[in-house]
Amino acid sequence: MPLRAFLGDPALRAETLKRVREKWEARQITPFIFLKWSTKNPIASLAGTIAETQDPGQFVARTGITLELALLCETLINAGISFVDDTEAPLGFVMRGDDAIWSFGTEWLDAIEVDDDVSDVVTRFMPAFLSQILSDDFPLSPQTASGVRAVAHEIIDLWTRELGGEIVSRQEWRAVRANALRASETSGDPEGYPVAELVESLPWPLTSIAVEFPAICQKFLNSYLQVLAVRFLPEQDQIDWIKCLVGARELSRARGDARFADASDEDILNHLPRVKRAMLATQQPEAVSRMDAAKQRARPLMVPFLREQMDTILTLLRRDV
Amino acid sequence: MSDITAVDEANFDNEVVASDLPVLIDFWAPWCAPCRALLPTIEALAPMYADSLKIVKIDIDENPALKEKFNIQSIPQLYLTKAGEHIARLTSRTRTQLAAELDDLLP
Repeated sequence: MPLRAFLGDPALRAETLKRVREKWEARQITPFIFLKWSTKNPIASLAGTIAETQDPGQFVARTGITLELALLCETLINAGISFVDDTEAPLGFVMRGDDAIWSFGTEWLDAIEVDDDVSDVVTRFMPAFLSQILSDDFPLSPQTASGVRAVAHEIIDLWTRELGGEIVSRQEWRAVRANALRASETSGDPEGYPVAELVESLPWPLTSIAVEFPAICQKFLNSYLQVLAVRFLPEQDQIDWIKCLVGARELSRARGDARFADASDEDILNHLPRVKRAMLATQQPEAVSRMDAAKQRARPLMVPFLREQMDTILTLLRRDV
Repeated sequence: MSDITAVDEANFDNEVVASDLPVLIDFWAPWCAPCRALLPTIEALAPMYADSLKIVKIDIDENPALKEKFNIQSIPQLYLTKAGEHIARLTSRTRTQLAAELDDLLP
């Protein structure tokens, strides 16, 4: 069903933009990955502030904007912001980020005109996003397995056909999903896991996966940041983290093993001492602190990629393509 | 977006034990970020398996007895149940993997 942005009301658009811009520029809004709003709690998300609700249905009814678009924009911002504990700050933390990231908080909203139908923006964004990750310029390109890359291209092809109005059969999607599971499972380089897991998450019809896409994107961006951060760690920490990433896969496989059907993760790890050692090493408070510091150093490296995604969304919103 | 029935200790028998269909329980809590990230995936599964599976969610903070009954030590946890009894723990976290797991488990 077509949507009418700002419910076709110029006054609503002006009021929303003014209210959100004032709070955003005063850093009174926290970019989250989910809808958060309350009259009793001062911590509110960007999407929550836009519609003054944390009810997904009300968000759309009050704004004429899809929630997945708002959450996708907020997720991209969230990935570029560091949250640093500060007991003297009103919320107990301060947020630090590049101006190129902060500015997007209102840019995307400002790019939506009254009466625009933005219901297809996320579905049109997804093939572009996946294509950029497959490009040779993407920093994890050397670590992305050829099988994963091939499945990603299959997904893009099916999405492109869907965007052209074609109905892709369930059998075709099912075949690509089987390929995606196989490719992800056999992706050997731990630094390639983020792309492998992203691709494994995506082989579904566009309209079906779009609602889930902000959460999938957030998980990918978080894993991507972690891989970038590992490169800033001391050598032993790097070894431990790579072992931990591999161990997390082993643990995940073991959870599906019939002999561990009723076992907690702790019990399973007691049967996998090598995996347990690797995971515990990265959970030591000093190791966690070093990883946090490494993430602070790595986050600026994500800014060009994040900004590229933001610009793609702006282009789609402005119908420049 | 589909609604996933919220189950608590008061309606557990009606919604889960008495269900004709197997029930997938999503154990979660509002403060749990991975649980929030998983919710859209669970919501997407609901219409796909509407004829063969009921999906519900249980807030472990509000329902300590159910947390204890299923021995939940970390969240999110996805348990497949029949007549209220645990028959499998789903360990996947992507829709692709979860669908593959459910296709193997469901009749």
